[in-house]
Amino acid sequence: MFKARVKMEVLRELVDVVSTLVTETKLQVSVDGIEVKAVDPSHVAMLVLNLKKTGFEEFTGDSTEIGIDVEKIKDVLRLSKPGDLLNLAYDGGKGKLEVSVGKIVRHMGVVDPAGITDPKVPNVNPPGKVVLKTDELRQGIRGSESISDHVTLTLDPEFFSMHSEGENDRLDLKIPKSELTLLEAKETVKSMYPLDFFSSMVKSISSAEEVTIFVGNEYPLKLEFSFAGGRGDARFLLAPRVEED
Amino acid sequence: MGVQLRDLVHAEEVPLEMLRGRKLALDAYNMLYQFLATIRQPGGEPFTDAQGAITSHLVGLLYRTASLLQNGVLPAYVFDGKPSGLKAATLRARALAKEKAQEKWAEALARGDLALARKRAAGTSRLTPEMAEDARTLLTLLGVPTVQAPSEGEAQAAYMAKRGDVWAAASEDYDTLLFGVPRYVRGLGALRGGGREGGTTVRLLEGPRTLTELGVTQEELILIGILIGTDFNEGVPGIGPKKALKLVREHLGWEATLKKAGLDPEAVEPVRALFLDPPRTEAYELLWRRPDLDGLRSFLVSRHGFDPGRIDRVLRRLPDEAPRSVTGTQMTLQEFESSAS
Repeated sequence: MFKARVKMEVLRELVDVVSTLVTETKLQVSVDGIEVKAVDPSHVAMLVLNLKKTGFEEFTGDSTEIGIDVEKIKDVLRLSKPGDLLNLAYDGGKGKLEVSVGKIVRHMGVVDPAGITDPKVPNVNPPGKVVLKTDELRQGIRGSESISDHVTLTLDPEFFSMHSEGENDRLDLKIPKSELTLLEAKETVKSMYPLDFFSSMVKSISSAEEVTIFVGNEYPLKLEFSFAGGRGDARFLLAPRVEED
Repeated sequence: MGVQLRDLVHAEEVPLEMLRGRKLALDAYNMLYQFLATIRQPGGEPFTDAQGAITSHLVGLLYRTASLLQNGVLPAYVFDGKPSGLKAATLRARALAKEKAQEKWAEALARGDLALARKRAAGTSRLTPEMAEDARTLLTLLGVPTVQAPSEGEAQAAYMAKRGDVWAAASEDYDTLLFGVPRYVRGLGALRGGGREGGTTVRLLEGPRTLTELGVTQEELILIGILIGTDFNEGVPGIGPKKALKLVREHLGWEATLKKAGLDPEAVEPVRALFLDPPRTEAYELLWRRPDLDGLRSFLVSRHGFDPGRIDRVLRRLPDEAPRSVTGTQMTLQEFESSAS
């Protein structure tokens, strides 16, 4: 059973984040809130997202799995405006998720959760950690997109940098330690990542002013941020590209 | 055809998406023969144009290549050169089998058994130099590079993968493994037309991993091939993949293993030499270009009489730009699943 009332902005960010990787996903409902684990079909990127019950305006739930077509939720979100509250209800019996906003009620067919991959989340702990402003990162990504399809992140004891290189052009974003909220790197570590994934991950973040990035050498990236006023948190993992020579 | 290693080696099923941005060297003849065998009319007749030229292979090649390009894959097709003298027996046997299939096809047709006729017809496929030339023309118009191998296409494709010029070789023939390929994709020939659906998968084999799993060296893998039989030698009657592996795992050495199996080491030495050091070339250029849509229409519709509507539907699926390769190799998170915390 699941019944909740949620701010439009919170649901929209959740859906934006999830839809960077998948079109269908499983909502894992518990008494404490909801969890989503998703992996893109090529197993390059993964997401673990939690939204506590306090992140909802109202929440009642017990152990339930709901298979969601993300696009259908987006359809309902398009009917709403900032500040709206959406009601969600699922009792399992009818196989329909009921989503309502204002006077509109949509009965949504759900997806069989058995058909949705349950990703095995690898235990990756990259050694370097940086906390920086989401806006600065977003700007760097916007600059890289016209140049290349990949980006190299470097964490040095003294700075964080992002570098991308195309056939003729290159772009560097370098932020010294003094201008970062936090930088923990005992030595220089760097990895290259596919820009399409990294870009859509960062662009899906709307409310967090800061993000935490963990980087290692030729190692998956971990990108963490919170949403719903700190009552929700999300963690993306992204596999590196490795240069062969 | 080729060596029967299927029961021994483990191929990982991976999403086609994993090949996006990857350069692949495809064994052209291997694929064209598959098309010729399968793309036939109900009674087994291949498709032809108004002048009687066979076009079945062009249909397959067009749809398959369009599908790969649509999925961001960068295919390069490697064409066979002069077959090795060691293949003569195999080629004779194949020619004989084709004659037999031809007779059986005629018999089935005479009886009016179309299903059987189609099945028998599949075994009669021949690829003439003109047909191969048509395939090359089609690929060039699609903006896809072709490579002329001095001899075996698989050997050349494996060499290109070894040099790192392509990410992997692609063939249905396990001989590719004996040529020491580092990475090898199977199942591209079996992709369905549409291509974009997320469920499409191919099978990936990694040479070094295969050796580790089997507990043999590259030379011992060749030895297994020789015992079972390859396109270049007859195997030992009664020795299949499992027996061969067991025997080779005794690690008696090259000569002793062959002798124990009843083969003359000297007689099969040229086969070993061929797998370890096959004729190959570095004279190739891998450049992908924008498809020439007008050229494709003229070649397929005006020259070979394809239906313009159908061709346009395929051409619309082609990307507007030349495909871009990715820098480096994209890892997957699965490769880090066991990583320590």
